[in-house]
Amino acid sequence: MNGCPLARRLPIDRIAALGLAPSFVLSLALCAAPLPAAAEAGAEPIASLSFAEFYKRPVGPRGLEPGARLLALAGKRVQLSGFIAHGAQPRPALAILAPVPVALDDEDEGLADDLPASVAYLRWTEPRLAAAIEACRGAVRVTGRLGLGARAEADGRTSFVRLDADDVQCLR
Amino acid sequence: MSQFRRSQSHLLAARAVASMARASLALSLIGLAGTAAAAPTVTRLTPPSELFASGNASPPYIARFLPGQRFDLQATVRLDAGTTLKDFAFLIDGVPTRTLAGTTSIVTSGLTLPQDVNAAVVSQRAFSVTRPGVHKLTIRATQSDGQSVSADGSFEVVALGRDGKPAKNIIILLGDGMGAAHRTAARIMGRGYAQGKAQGRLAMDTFPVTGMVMTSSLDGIVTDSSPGMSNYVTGNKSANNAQGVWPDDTTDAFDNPRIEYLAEYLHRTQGKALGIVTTADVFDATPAAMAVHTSNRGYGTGIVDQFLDDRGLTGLTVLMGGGRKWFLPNGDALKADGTREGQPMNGSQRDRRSDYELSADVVTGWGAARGALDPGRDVIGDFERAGFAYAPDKTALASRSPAADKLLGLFAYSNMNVAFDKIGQRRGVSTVVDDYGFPDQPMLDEMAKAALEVLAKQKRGFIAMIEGASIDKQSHLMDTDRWLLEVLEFDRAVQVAKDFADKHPDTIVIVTADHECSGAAIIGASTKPVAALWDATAKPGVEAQRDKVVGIYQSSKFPKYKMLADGYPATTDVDYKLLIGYGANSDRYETWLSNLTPTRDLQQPFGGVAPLKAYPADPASRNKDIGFLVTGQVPGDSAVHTATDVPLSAYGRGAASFTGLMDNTDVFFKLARIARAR
Repeated sequence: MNGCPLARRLPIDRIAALGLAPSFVLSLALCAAPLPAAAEAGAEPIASLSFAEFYKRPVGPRGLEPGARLLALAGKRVQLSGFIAHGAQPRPALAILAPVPVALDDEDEGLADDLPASVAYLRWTEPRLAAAIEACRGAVRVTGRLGLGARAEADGRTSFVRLDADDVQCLR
Repeated sequence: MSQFRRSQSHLLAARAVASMARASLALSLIGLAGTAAAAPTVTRLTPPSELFASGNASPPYIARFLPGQRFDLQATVRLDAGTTLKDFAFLIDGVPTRTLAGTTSIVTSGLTLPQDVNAAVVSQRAFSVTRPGVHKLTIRATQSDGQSVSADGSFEVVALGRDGKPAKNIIILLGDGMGAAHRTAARIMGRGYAQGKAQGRLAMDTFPVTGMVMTSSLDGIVTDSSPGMSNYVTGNKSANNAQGVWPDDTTDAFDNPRIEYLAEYLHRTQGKALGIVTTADVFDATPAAMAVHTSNRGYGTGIVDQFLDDRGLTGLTVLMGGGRKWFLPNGDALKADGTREGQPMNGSQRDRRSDYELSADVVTGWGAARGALDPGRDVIGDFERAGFAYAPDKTALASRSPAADKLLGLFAYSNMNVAFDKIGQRRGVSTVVDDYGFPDQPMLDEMAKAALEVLAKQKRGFIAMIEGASIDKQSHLMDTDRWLLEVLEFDRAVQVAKDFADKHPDTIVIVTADHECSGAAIIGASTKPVAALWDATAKPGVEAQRDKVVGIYQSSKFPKYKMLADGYPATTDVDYKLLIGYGANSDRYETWLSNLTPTRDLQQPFGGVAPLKAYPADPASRNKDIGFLVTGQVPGDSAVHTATDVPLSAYGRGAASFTGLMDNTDVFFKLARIARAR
């Protein structure tokens, strides 16, 4: 069951009448149709991961420390639910998955923006995923391979947790 | 001739022809346009002045300095297409300035001006004038075809005079966003009223001298916290988002024309040390506006680096607050593929974009550290190597070595938790602080006490800034109960400073705010017991929660709060509680009851995960199902600062001068005079 209430309420033939952009229409259409999981990865078990498992509490004197379960899942396929951070300058095949809705601003005070520490950078190679990620304005569930360790990203930030995504589902 | 005066001449000419035929006027305007395009012009002259901006040569003078206080001279010269800048000179009272090698620059790229504009930004760094009085600043510039331009501005060097004994120590207590209503409300809660009389005074109320401060910034009636603080300690107006600098026309946030801070001036001339204590992230606007020169308050990496690297200029000796995320290494050994093997997942927020490298003229002129784009820097380690004791929590702060004479305290990842939640945890009734991941945070008065103990070792004295940062932050969120406890916490730090001044009478203490926040107003008190307020949440709306609850005038009576030995009320949800309204509010839902959890702060490391994930996102969603809607007068999701004057109270040596109405820049000169700056 997909979770795109706008798409359900707005039939595609009415979207054009409303003057919405074709890309938005495409996004809604993709959102309305469940995305197939990557066939070749289907046999591998998928572990559920939550943002709360990223870092230990309390925080140490030299900064955050990764949680034991996060470390144990490095390199494995996991499923993580959150919200795509919107507002930042779009980058090809790169997005940020945050535990709550976040609007980024790369200008002005964007360098000290409200991006929580517990986020995952999403990468993908399949073009269909880009449209799905753009379409999901609410919660989203991402399946992919978990990568850990600091990496300089194209948006100037440093990622610590990454998912090489192979499936994206919009949630209700 | 200044750009303005050049324009004025044309305007007068245009007025003269106004009675002529329309065709003649059109010809005149064509001539004006032709003239403007055929010669270089000066579009910005710094220090700012009304003489340059409007042609007004009368006081008040926008830029004022202490004798010998250093500042940068800068001008933007627009050149005709196809020409270059041949030469330039600054003149003071008609005499060319003496320039030291390496202290001037011409910048023609990286400008914020439209791409088709041919311009040069010319600077002379770390200039100063010792002779008191009003001085004329002139820029003369010549472009490559030989055409030249000249423009005038002005500034004043203020004679300080001397009276009384000098103060060795200066303590500035800054209640961020704390207006008169915030102070009054905290007094009502913390001390109580009976038959119209306050039953006690806040520590800040006991200061013998009080005045009012005008807080506007260089570019707006309403200031933000950067110039709000910076103006107190440079004597000059900065623009919003900027601290210790004036605006310019370049994109580099760290090359703006500088003004020497009071801490820098007193460290250079008297060897005084600097202490900064805040409940905010230490990169936040107010703490940074004591020591860091940048036009962008958001550049956390560069800001914390400059705190450390320019300690030789500022005398930085104590730095305490939140903001650990800026001090953690983010890897400096990037491999070609972007990975950093071995780099810990520490949550560092350091990056190259918010870091800095100073231009050569700034380095040479000011003797400043060049800086480096080094997100991989271990800043905590560098502080320790510079002799700072590092305290990551309250326990470490309390158990620091008695020999420690420099102190770094980083008690949170971002802003520290607020008093409401810290006290709740100490009483065992709240887990908010634990949920944030920092269960052992000190209160502001505990931090202030430790800071003053360390700074008291400085033989030549110190200047300390102690900030109650979340008076502002919780006022933005219109979380009344939380900002009320922030004021009470801040006032306990005021008492610590007052006690210090009693033991060290060569100390001046001032308590004030950078601006008012939220238009807070004490509108009255509830006419209902707290149980009735809870009952009303079942049928939210103006009738049940406003019309039947808000007591005004004599209906407001005198709210009574039971204070516990820790200095805070047993609960803020008392019968007939104090009610606060907001004149600069965004949309919010009001129940008049305290909020069990704070409003979400995504800058916290666990800001988006359970249990913090369930915290209300903003005032427009907080209590949405149980409160009545108060429609905002401002857009956005939080209340805003106001331009209302703020009170300033003074105690100790030289306090008598802080009376009447003053500009925030006046405070700088009063403090300098009391410190016998020269």
